[in-house]
Amino acid sequence: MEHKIETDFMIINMGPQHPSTHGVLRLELKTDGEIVMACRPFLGYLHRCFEKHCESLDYLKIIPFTDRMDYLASMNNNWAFCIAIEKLMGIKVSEKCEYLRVIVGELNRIASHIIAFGTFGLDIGAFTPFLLAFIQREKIFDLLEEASGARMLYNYIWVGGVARDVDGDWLKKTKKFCQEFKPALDEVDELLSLNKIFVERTANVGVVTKEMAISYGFTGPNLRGSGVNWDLRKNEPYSLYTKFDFNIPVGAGEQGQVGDCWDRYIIRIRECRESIKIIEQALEGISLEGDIYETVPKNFNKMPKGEVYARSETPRGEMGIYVVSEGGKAPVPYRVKVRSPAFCSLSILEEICKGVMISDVIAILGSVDIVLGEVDR
Amino acid sequence: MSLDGILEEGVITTTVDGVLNWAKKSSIWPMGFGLACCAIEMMATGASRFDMARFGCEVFRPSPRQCDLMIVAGTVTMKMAVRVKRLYEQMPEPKYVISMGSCSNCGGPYWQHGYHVLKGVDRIIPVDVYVPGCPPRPEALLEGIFKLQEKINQQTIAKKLVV
Amino acid sequence: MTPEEIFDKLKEKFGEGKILRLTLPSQNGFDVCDPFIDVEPLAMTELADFLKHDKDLAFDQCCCISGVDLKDDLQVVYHLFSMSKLHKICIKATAKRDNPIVGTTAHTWGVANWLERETWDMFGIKFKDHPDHRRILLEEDWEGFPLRKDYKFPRFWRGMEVTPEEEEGTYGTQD
Ligand code: SF4
Repeated sequence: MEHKIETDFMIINMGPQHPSTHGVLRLELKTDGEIVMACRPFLGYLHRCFEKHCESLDYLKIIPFTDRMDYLASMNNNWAFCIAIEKLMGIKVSEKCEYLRVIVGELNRIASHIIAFGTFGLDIGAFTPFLLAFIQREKIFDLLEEASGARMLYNYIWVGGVARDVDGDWLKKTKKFCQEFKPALDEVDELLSLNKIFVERTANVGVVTKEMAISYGFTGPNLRGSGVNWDLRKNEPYSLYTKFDFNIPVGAGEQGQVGDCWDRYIIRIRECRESIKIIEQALEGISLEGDIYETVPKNFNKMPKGEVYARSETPRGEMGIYVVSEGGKAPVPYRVKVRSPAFCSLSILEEICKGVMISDVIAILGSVDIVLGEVDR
Repeated sequence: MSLDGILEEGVITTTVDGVLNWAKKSSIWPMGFGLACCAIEMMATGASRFDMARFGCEVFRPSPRQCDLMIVAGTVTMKMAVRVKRLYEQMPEPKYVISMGSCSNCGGPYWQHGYHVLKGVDRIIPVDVYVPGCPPRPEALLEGIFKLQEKINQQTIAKKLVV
Repeated sequence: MTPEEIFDKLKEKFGEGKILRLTLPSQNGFDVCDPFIDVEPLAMTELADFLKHDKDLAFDQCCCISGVDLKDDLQVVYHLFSMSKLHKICIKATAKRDNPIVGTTAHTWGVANWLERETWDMFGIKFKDHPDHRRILLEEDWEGFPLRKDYKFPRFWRGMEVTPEEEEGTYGTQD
């Protein structure tokens, strides 16, 4: 008589305190030896009630809370929220403010991508690129601190304007930074991108096809990593993005299939270069004449009744802000909903983690680049 | 001291407390666990510019069993609080806690409308040093670590006589 | 396609009973809004399927699903976008407050799965035939649905103080 020996599945709990889950995320992995059979993410360990705060605070007071949502790219969050409120109130912001917003927004995008690929390298086991990248990140922080007064959470972009003016000196420093940054980025790029171990760990891992990416709400670098040429800065331009000349890097499956972890990683490196291009053009175009508070509304007592859905491109993808205003004298929004890019991207995890190795889960998670503050809000 | 001249050179004398405290405070191993925005500043403290290694506490351990120090960096939500408590219990003695940022000090910006935020981590675990700020600058965290080192320096293994 | 064309197409397919009305900006008392279509909540499942797979509509991207508490009713708002046709529309399904049920769209768009779970978690709107109907952000034993306008903050949860005593009553109120 033949006996079939059956082995048991094992449930492994990863997180919420885990060095590579990028914050407090818990994954429940059902494994058959080394192979993951099912992966169930549990969120909410950083649910800080952002939407409840929005219903209780007036429009200006919400901006600091948007900072704390995606704390790696605060400027872009401020900006996304301001775009929505400006659309609601019909404010057109002066050109100088728009230039400033573009500059700080792109600087912050670089800082955020640095964390993304720095920690991604860290997850895979490469420590040096992380340290090298952090040197550059500190330089960006110095610039942003000089402009806004804070290192990380800026509260810089206001409805109808920006919080503080900058001077010519700051522009010069920014220009200098752009020049210094390029070789530094190349260094990280050379160190990590084509490293044999790194490529082995990331190429052909966690492949997300085009259709899946769109269906699961991938946006931003993740979507472009799957080979979709889509960037709100180009396809639905807001602010001054029509003025600048820049490319949209799209994943082409250089090391493996289109849409694998390596593609998602390389997009971020290339995007940093494009951001530098944008900043350099903006520095050329900006003029320091003009009042930054010109279009800042004095009060919020005359809000129109209505609702808007405004979306913009943050480093993690499309951030949509849905604001419902009751109108009349109410200075608080009736409802604010944030469509957070990381939340939507994370929802694919259940799907693509079937049948991969345990160590690949880490690579996939790192390549999707989530910020738990924004996932849980 | 009275032993001067009796022992050979290269020997110093001190108290047992002194040795223990010196050993404890000069290699504090923190637990690598971050909760929210403050954790990013904690990372920055450990990375290139600020470099916590200068003060002997750069060895971030992923496991609570190997740590001396827990830096609670960020917002402690209700769902996380139960886990934070468990992690604290898993750490071996002697253990210390730094509460970093106003969120873990007292709820911070989420004090009034945050139905899911614990209003201060000291409601569940004892805290040694509080570092204020939202987020505290890396310098502030370093200062917090110095304060902790001072505190460790004053410890004694002698038990107080309860009269 | 313009919102009118989308509306006509849907109405032709599903009839007036399910597709209720179209609101354009500055109609029905709105000063500002994106064009939206009110639909019957339980028709949402088949509607979503049609919206995605019809050749002219091709709404392949579900941007956002949000709940809104309208005091008397609860509403689910879908923002849809088509990457191939470059048009967008907003769909609203309003359900009764005492028993809010909306048809799920999770089988159509992958991302809707989590977005709907979030809506259930925050508003207590049930999604019929949802494959994984659990809370997503809060623990299962949390009481109440926080984003409803009449939500009262709990005093304790698992022995931990949620609302400190001195602050009781002032919490969650609008200032
Ligand atoms: S104290 Fe401020 S920076 Fe720190 S976790 Fe809280 S909100 Fe974030």
